[in-house]
Amino acid sequence: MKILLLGFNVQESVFPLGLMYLKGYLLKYHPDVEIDLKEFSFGNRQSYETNKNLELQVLSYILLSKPEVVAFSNYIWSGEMAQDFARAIKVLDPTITVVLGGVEVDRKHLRSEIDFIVVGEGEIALKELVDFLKGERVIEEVHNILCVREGRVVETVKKEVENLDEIPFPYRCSEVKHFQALRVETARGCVFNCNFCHYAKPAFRTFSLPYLRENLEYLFSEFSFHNLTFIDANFNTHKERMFTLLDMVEEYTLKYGKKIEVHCELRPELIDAEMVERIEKYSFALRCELGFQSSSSEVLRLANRPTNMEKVRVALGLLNTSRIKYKIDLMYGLPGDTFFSFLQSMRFLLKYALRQKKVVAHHFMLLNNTTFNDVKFNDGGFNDTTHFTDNNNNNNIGGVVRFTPLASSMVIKTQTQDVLELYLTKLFVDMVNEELGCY
Amino acid sequence: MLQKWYIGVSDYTLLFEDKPVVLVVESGLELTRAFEILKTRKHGLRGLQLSSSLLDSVIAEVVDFKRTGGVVNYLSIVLEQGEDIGLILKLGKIELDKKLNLKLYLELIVPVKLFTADILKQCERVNRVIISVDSEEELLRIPDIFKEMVLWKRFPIVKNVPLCKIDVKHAFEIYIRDGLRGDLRVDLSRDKPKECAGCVLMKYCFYKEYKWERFIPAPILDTTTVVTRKYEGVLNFVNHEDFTARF
Repeated sequence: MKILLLGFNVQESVFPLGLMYLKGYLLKYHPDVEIDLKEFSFGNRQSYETNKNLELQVLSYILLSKPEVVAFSNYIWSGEMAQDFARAIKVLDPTITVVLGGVEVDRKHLRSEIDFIVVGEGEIALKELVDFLKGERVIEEVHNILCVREGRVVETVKKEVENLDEIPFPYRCSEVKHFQALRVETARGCVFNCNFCHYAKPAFRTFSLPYLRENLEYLFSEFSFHNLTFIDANFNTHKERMFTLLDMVEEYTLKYGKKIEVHCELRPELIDAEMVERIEKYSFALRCELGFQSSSSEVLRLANRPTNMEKVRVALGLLNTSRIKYKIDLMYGLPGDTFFSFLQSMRFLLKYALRQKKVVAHHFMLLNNTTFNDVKFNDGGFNDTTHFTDNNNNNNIGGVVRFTPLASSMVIKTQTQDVLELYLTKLFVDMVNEELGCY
Repeated sequence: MLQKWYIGVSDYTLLFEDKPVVLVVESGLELTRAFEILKTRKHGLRGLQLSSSLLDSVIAEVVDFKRTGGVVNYLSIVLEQGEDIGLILKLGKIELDKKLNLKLYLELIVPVKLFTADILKQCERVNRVIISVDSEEELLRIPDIFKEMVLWKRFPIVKNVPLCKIDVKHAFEIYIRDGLRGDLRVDLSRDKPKECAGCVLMKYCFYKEYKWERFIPAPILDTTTVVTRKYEGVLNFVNHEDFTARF
């Protein structure tokens, strides 16, 4: 059996981490299966010509590969595209089995050209799906699957890999050893539960320290890279574990003579003076991304993201006088947000995030498989509207509507803003950033 | 936009040397004095606001950046006549010495009567365009002007419009402070036409009594929950007491 794993990335030359996890786990249980893997880059997304060439290229690659199964791993920028490819594949070769997976897909994506949907993490599902395709398992026993069988929707039980160490380290499958940046996962899930994020959906689990030690050394000894990114949602959730891992990085940086920059995501309220002092002692440079999103208590309440502003202020003060580089992000258009409440958040950052020379802000995107998307109060039919209570517990403060019902690339309406206001917010941020760059 | 105070040249004192100030120049003589002040400023913002008719003098100084080390880095130009666009384009083409890290922020204030969509096209190098409105009749052109500004990816912003006549976020005055009293919370309720009495935004509106015949005040009097909620955000924004905020 030949399986083609496909993904789409906005960047070039990035290690296809998610696909490699799938490949490694699949080969562990099905070493006889031939697995081909390709992550396509968008290149210039603004170019219509480039996008159309990408479509031709991908379809050509699929046809030349002659796979029995094509499995798409989707993220927010590729959900619509993957559905279009699924339809095209079925036109060109209806015998190919099409699987859709990734954080973005759910029951709404079921349609005739998609044979299986993998919901949640893909390792167990893909492995058991191959069991099924080989005739070794009935479909009802394949975990994390959605499909249609004899006219009825089959939705199987969800299961996650409990012991992450069972998953082969993805870089061990790679023949290519040179990348600008390598990304490493030391944990899955998140201890926090923000309503706009899908990180919190799976249970929080960690890879063991011995597993990480062995595989980090493998990376340093076998790969050429300049940037090592820990992609954990909040790398500093457990301070001592974080430092154990950074100590490993320091050890191997020195042992293998690498000059690298380490990148991670930190929760700002968990940054203290001791943390900063310890980080500064490392020989490698550390660049961190701080999730902040908003300073509005109402927005944060609706997002289930309680934030201690005083601790954030203190953390920024510590970072401002350190050699740690940071980037702190805002999100506009969250439920409860208005143009002026967002400006207050900008004001907070411009006052305290002194090392950041511009405002980094993204518009809110309603992601599938997040609490904001999943909570529905309507008639049970598919509805892209979510409702949240206001301070008086009123359940009718409007909804969040997307441009494309199935994909989450753009929100066109929240209960407090619509697309014009969202775009004006973007223009305002651009205007402020231009001015910030001048004096 | 970033916090800044607009101060007349004759009102400038050393108390402002470390504050974000834009010197408002009314004549050629003031321009000379303004350049002397700018050279002594301790704050990063070295701003000038002047009429487009004075641009010729400024260009010479700007071109001389290499010698003067960048006297002006923020230039706000009030367009007097359409023909002056040529001078603005000339400014935009000046190459700033990258080694000296020289920057020049250009802001253009365009009266509605002079506005054409072509100005936006010609002035791509201009960082910010502000529309100056003079009367109720001119407000009728605002929706079309805003449409053009969005087309050119510019945040639509207007000047001299009472807050009851425009969506408040587009009012330039919301984002700046009274120049001479920038470190005080200034109540602007005085000097208002009596028609403005009771308006929820009266304290923050720059509209003055002597201009009242140019606009028909439409005070926001309804203090129901709906209205209060609508203006809650902007009131929280303008009521901040942190005068050191950049924004």
